[in-house]
Formats: sequence, structure tokens, C-alpha cells
Amino acid sequence: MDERQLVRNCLKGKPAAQKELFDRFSGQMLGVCYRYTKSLADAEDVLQDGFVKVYQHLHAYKFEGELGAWIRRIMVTTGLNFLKKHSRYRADLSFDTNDALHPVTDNDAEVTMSAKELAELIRQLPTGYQTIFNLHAVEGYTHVEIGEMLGITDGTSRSQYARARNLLISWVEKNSFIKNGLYAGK
Amino acid sequence: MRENEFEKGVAKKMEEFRLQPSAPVWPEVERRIRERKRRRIIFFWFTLGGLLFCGIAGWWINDSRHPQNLVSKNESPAPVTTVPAPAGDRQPVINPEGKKGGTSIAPAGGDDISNRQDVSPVTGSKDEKSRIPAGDKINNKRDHFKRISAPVIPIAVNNAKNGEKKKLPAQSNNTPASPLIPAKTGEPLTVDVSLPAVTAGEPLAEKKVIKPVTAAGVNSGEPPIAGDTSSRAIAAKEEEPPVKKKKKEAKHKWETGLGFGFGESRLTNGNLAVFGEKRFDSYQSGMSNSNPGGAPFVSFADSIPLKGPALHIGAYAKRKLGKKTAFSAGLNLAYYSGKQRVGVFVDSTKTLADPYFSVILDGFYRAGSQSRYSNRYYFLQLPLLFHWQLNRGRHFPLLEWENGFLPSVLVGSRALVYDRRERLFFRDKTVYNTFSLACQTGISALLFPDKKHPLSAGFYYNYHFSKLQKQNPPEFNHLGSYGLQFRWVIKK
Repeated sequence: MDERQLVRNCLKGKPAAQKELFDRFSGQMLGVCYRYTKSLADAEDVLQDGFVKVYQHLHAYKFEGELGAWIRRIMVTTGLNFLKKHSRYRADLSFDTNDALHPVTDNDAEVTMSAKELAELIRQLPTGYQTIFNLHAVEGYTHVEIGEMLGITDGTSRSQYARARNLLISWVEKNSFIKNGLYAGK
Repeated sequence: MRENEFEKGVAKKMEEFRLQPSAPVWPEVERRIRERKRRRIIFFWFTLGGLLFCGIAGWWINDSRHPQNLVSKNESPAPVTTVPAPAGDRQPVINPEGKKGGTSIAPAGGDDISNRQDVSPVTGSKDEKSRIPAGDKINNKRDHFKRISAPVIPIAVNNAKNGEKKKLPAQSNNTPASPLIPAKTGEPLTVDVSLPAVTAGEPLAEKKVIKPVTAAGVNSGEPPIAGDTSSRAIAAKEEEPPVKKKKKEAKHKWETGLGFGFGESRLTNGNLAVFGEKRFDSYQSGMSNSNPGGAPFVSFADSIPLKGPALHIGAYAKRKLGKKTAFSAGLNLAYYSGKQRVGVFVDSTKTLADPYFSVILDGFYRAGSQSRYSNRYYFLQLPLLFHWQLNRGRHFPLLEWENGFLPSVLVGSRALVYDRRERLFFRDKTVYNTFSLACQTGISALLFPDKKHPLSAGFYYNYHFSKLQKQNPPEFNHLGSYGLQFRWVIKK
């Protein structure tokens, strides 16, 4: 069943189509949710909320652009709402107001680790860093857009991103050294 | 914008990243979808049931509280005294044909109902009759309905016939409630409308294309230099193209517009009779068959206003609640009217008094059918309506069914009150309920939906649960109107 037909059947309320839509996108979307949260249970909560919204607002999807990208946007928005709503994330999500740009290096680390390992590293970042890194590096939002989404200035977003990036690169390099046996004893 | 190989690599890895959700996730999602749907259906039927219940309860309460207060043939007249008005204030009266002369005046005490339509009974003295000049047109009546005093006070008046003075019994203003003065029914009613929460602020309809990773400003071949604080990357970030402003489709959650409606209004007797023409006409003509025992039917037809034009104009704001539901609130100025058959106008001061109610009139109409008077009522209404979309609007115009309540305030009136005992009409604004509650239903079709300012047109019917008149309530005491309504969307 192609996407168009699938969406139409979902709009008609056919349970089989709704299940198929879930099966088709749930794996990818859980990956998205996983990157924004600190536990798998929270990620599944976000996934549930997100899919309920997807079915609720499916009539708003006008077949312009990929369905997966549309659902992904809903998941990201739901994830951000989840972070703002729950106190265990809300405290960590506060951003310092120092807009001074943290130096962004050209230091690039080759990402040789698996996707799962990389996702785990991203999740080790403080919540604020993690969120901004995900939004900018993975989802492709600009800092101005991130600022609007999180209620911060674009300068703060840039600064937080630079710190998150540096921290993550150092972890990736460290991880790479360990994997290659170059970090032994240090 | 991703400008480095690192970001590119991360994005690529994350695109591949998949996790299998645990088994209970889908059943929970499915349960929540079904529950939401079921809640919507329950809400719909609950509201519909509530409206029906309110209508039936309103009808039942009014019907049980309001027995047939027909004018009895053997009804004893109330103590009524007539004071001659100053000569300069007297107004002429016309007969039905408009000819000069007092041919429509019946002899005093003439209670013969069979010919009541032809003659207007006049109680009082011969002097009073002789004071009513005839032949001139009724033009300046409105100034003669000034209420002189509301509280009851002992009044010494001249009996024009024999010159005796009669003193009316003193009455307190705090008299107990009379059967003729029912408990207040016009107190403001509040409507508690619970709305389902709506997730807002998520521009779901917007499409966002994830920008591809670019390697601008990065020499991927060079080894990374630790601690390099080159400003190239910063500069590259600074040169990000200006962000295209997001479409603000979802920003205007409220649709605003203007509403206009016109139709017909009428007073009903509390049974939501929309088109009860037969009964209405039979009352009107005094030919009702509902009189048991075959006794001569004593009509109160004089007190029944006919239908008249109705109008309303106002503004509204409407908000989508769900895919097919919406709520709107607004402010309307509504006009109701009803033409009244009345007899001749008597330009004379008259005191109406019963044990609980007394008023001095400075001019009144007698019962009869010689002329017509337009009763007019002006309401300020706050329509609170729920809208249900009935179709998708693909092949036919989008249809919406609306139901709701209209808390209303009577801001003005120019209408006659009927006194059954004396069978005369007079103006008294104090007898009306200031606050009233009405329900409204209607169906409308959205025309020109693609235009910037679409128009919707349809039918409406509204009915006032509350009684219009709180004192001496007549049988037909519930306003209602039906007609066509139009809404012009200004901002959507």
C-alpha cells in the first residue's frame, strides 16, 4: 500500500491501516524520541503521544513532502513538549543566559562508531546540550528556529551547540581511541 | 545548518538509527485513539441530549406553572377608577373604519363575547365614554403610555359618575408573591460550557525540508587541529541565509466575522411550537375547540400578539475544537417584534389595581381589533454555539450544524401589556424579565470557501426558555424566531 492510500485509509479510521502506519514508522520515530530523552521508557511515552497526535492531525497532511518527515516533525515537537513538561528534564533544560559565543572548532571527528553507540553518547550530554545538538546537527534547524522553539536567543543556541559539539567530539575521539586500543592506560 | 563532516556523519548515522518499540506501545496508542473518538461521540450526544432536556424541561415547567389563565366570563371586575385626563392631553380615537364617531364603543359592562370583536367594551361611567372623542387618527400614542407610579398608595379618586370618593386599600410594597406575579424567572442564568483541551501551537501542517549537510568552510582532508579557534566556522554560521519566516497558518486559531440574520419572530406558549399555526390562529380568532363542555369559549385572543419581523446583527469569534467541531462566541443585537390587535386608544388616566399590583395609566388601548400595534423588543445576546461539520465539503458546500445558548439582556422594549381583568393594553417596561436564556439551533452552508472572506448562509431557530413577561404573564410568553442567517468571515 502506498503512502497516499495508507493515509486515506487511516483517515477513514481503518484499524489495519493505522497499525500499518505505526509499524512502518515506529522504529525510526522511536530512534528520534530516544535521542531527546534519557530513558527508553520516556522515549516510548513520547512515541505514544506523538502517534496519537499523528492520527489526530493526519487530515492536515496534504501529501506535500514525505510523510516520514512530517511525522518526524511531530515527534520532535512532542519530544520538546515532553521535556518542558516533566520536571526531571525541565531543570536541566534551563540555559544560561551567557550569549558569548563559545569557540567553534574545525575539529572534526570521524564517526566510526555504530548508530546505537553514537545515540548513547548524545544522550549522555546534558539535556540542554542534547536538545540543541539534536535539533541543529541532526534535524537541521537553524539557530534562529531553535531559539524560537525553546524560547532562547539564537546566540544562546549557538553557544550551547558549540559546547555540546566540542564535548561530543572529545567523547567520540576518546571512544575511537579506546576501540582502536590507542587509549589504553590513559 | 550543518557545515562540518562531523555533523554530516552524525546525521547519517542517526538516519540509520532504529529502535523497536516494546509490545505494549501500539495497544496503548490504539486505546487512546479509540478513546478520543468515543469521547467526541459522547460529547456530541451529551450536548444534544442536554439541549433536548432543557427544551423539554422548560416546556414542562412552564406548562405546569402556568395553567390556563383564561379570562373567565364570571370574573369579578377589579376595583378600577378612572380619573379624567386634562383636556389638553386628550387624544381622539378612531373606529375600525376610521370614520368619525364613537360607534365602536360598547355599553358599559357589555361582556358579550360573541360580538366582542366588533365592539370594544368600555367599563366606567358615561362621562368617560363621552370623554373619548372619535374620528382622528392614532398617531402620538407612545407618549401617553407613561407610567405614573409603580408603588401602591392609597388614592382618593373621584368617581366620575356619582362624585363619591373611594379610598383604595393601602398596600405594602413588600407584599407576598401573588399568583399573578410569579417568582422571578428572569434572573441571569449562567451557562457552563466545558471545552475539550486542544493542543495548540504546533504547526503540524507546515512542511519542513531538512536541509542537507554542507561542508562549507571545512577542509575534510586536513587533520583536525586541537584548540584551533578559527573564526571560519563562526563566520560560516553568521552567513546563514536569513530564515524564511514560518507560515503562520496555525497562528490565527480564532476565526472572526460578522453575522446577520432576518426572519420572523413570535410569541409561543412554551411548547416550542414553531409552526403551530392552527392552534395559534384558533386562539387568535377565538374559535378554539379546546374549550371543554361546550361552554361559550372565552377567548384571550386580544392578548396574543401576531408574528412580526425579527433581525439580528453582530460579530463573532469561532475556534476549531477538533477536526469537525468548533465553538463560537459572539455579541448580537437582536430585534423581535409582534403585531398586536388592539382596539381604540383611550387618552385618559386610569388606575389599575388588584390586591398586589397597581399602576396608573396615562392612556391605554382597549381590546379589540380595530388597529394593530407593533410590539418591539431589543436584546443584547451572547451566542455560545457549538458547530458540527456534517460533510467534507468536497462535492457539496460544507454544511455545519450549530447548537447552543444565547444568554440575553433585554435592553429596550416598546410593547403593550395586556390586563385581563380590564381587557386593555398599556405600556409598562417593568413587567419584563431583563435577563433571559434562549437556545438556538441552525444549519448553514459555507459558500465560496476559497475566497479570502467566505460567506456562510443557512437557517436558524431560537427559542427563549425564559418568560418574557414576569408580571401577569400571558399564555404566549416565550419569544422565538426563525429565519435566514448569514455570516461573513473577516479573518480566518
